[in-house]
Amino acid sequence: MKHEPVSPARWLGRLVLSVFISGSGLATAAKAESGQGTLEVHAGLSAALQLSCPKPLTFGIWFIPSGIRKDGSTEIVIEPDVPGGSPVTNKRSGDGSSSFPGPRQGECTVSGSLADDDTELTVRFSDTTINLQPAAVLFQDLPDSDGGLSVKNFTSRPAGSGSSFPALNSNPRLTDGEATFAVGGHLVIPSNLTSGQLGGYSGTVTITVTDTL
Amino acid sequence: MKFHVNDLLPRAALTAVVTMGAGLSQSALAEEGTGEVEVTAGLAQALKVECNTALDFGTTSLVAGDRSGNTVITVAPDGTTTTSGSDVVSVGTAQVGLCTVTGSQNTAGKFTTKEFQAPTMNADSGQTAPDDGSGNPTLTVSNFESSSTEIDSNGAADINIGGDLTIPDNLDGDNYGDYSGTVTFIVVDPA
Repeated sequence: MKHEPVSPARWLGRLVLSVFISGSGLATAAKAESGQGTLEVHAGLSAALQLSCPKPLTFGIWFIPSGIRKDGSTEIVIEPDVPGGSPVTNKRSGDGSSSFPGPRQGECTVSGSLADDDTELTVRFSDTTINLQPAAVLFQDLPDSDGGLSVKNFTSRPAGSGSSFPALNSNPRLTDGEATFAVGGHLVIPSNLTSGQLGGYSGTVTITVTDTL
Repeated sequence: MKFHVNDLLPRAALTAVVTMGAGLSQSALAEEGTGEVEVTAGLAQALKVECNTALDFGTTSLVAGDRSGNTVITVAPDGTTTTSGSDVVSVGTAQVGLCTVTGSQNTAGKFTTKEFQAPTMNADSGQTAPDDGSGNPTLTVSNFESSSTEIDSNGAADINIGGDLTIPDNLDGDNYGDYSGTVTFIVVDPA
């Protein structure tokens, strides 16, 4: 193959072309390095009510014969009064007699509401029935085994407003962001207890109070 | 002086030939030439970052007034929500932020992520942000954390983003409500 001599003009052209290609090669080599986006961030704050129940619902101490009781299980009902009052206690069925210390209603106080005065609160118990567990309470020793005591049918009564006596399970009303109510319930003692199951018992029920802000 | 016609013609003819030859030589310098010049250009697709799912700390229920300190709500990139601090009554349903990155020329490796600027959480109208004691509204989001940033075979990655929300102490009634802000997220390709 014959090579023809290259004129100075063609050399110049080739030089320019090579520089151009070299430059465009740099452009091709460029890669993506970074990118950015905008992320939204959301949060919300809602006012919480504070609920404290400094006075527990206690059925007190009851004398119960050990062994099988012919009248079956014993059911004790505490119907709460207004907070600070005296509850009504009845033995609805079965054997047993109350001793010292006697029954007392539970009492709870709601605070921190931002709702207007006279706004009603709803009171809700987490469980319809709770089982009590052996515990050393009310001067009683820890039972040797679980006697199967339970509490059901929780009730409440708010503080009175005006001259009317508040109905059982009526809604508490706010005053300066606060309200109080008393708590009652039914204690059920199984009909067959051994002597080792006599002693103290304890349990907890969760109460949720809601306002309508 | 003798004039011979026969001598004159050959000289003229020779001169003409020489002139024509010179003329041909000059026109060769101005001759047009054609050739092909290759032209190339490169376009690199920039990384595209789209964040279509907000980082949402949900609604936190807190009491007003003294709580004995700040409250921190942490949303991890896997969606786990934890709280630290005091008196959190309840934490709402939180959601991690999700950003999708596309356009990398890499098909393996990891993106590097970093937040560009911590957002200022603005209160919705009708409410005021809590005060940190210095006159500054202070619902703050910090400590952003992302999930794995592995680049897939398409040069893309889905990145979950979590962070810490700090709620100051001593809320009042005007502080309750919704807050929002934005953060610029930067994603860097591996070298």
